[in-house]
Amino acid sequence: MSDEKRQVSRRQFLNYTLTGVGGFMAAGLLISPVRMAIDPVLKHDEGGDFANVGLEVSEITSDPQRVDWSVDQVDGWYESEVSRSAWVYRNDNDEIVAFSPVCKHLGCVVSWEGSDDYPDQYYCPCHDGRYYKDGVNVPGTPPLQPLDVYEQEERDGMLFLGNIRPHEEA
Amino acid sequence: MKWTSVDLQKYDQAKEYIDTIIVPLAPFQIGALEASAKNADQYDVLTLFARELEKELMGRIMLTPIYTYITSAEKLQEAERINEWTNHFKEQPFKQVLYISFDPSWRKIANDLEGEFIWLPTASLKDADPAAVKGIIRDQTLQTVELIKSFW
Repeated sequence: MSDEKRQVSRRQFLNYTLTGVGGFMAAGLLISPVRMAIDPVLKHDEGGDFANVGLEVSEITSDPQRVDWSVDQVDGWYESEVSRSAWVYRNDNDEIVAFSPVCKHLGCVVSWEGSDDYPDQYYCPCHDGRYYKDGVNVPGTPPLQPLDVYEQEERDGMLFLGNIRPHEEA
Repeated sequence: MKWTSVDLQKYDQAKEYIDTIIVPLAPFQIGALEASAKNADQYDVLTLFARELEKELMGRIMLTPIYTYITSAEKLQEAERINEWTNHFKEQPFKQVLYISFDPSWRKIANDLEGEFIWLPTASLKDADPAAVKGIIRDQTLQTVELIKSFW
């Protein structure tokens, strides 16, 4: 037993300790650059949170309906509750589509069949901007782009809406 | 649009589309507790409500900071000062100047004001739960939006 113990010589012992201590120091020096290098991977997408808008997917029909919900928005140290709304309907391909109600002209809130003169269209009361049911702007009215769409997914039969993206058919 | 640097930049580029300015009028006082507290609550509600209104119609209206006056102030004198504001706005030019307030006493001298006065029935939100508050504000906003549309 005592012979085996002596197999660690003084030189070896010093080598081990120095390697160990040196290793820790190197790790200490490396940890911040490494953390910075892989930072994009660790950063979670803050805007990517989906929120339950309180509407059952089965209740969505081909008639657009308005949903209102609110999300917590963190802006630096300031956290506030922001209300959001959307017009949700099922299109001809049986896909659920959620439009942002913000007019692409100057940002008023549009509503489905908001004017009696234009049934089956979204109508903006500010400057008579109009959009077809698929969100595309009616040519000749002030807006120049189709309505933005929300990213959406279904969880346990409820509709969840996330980020706003530009309309794809534009 | 609100009176913020971001919105003012947008306003500058879209002046011809934004032809209506909204001026909330709110009384304030620091005196008898009950009356003061009521004014303070109404100020809060008016702020909330004006913000919702602006959100709904932001492409055509500009919301000014709230015009405040002492509750007991002589309304005719205040009207003169409000008209100064109004003339300033009309130079921009804004075609419509609308005042919104919970204070019904403006009704009597509405003819001396150079803009249109819109009286809003008081909504007390003090004891309501947050969900109900949202509903009340939303209702009142949509009704007022209809009213404002009638000026266009």
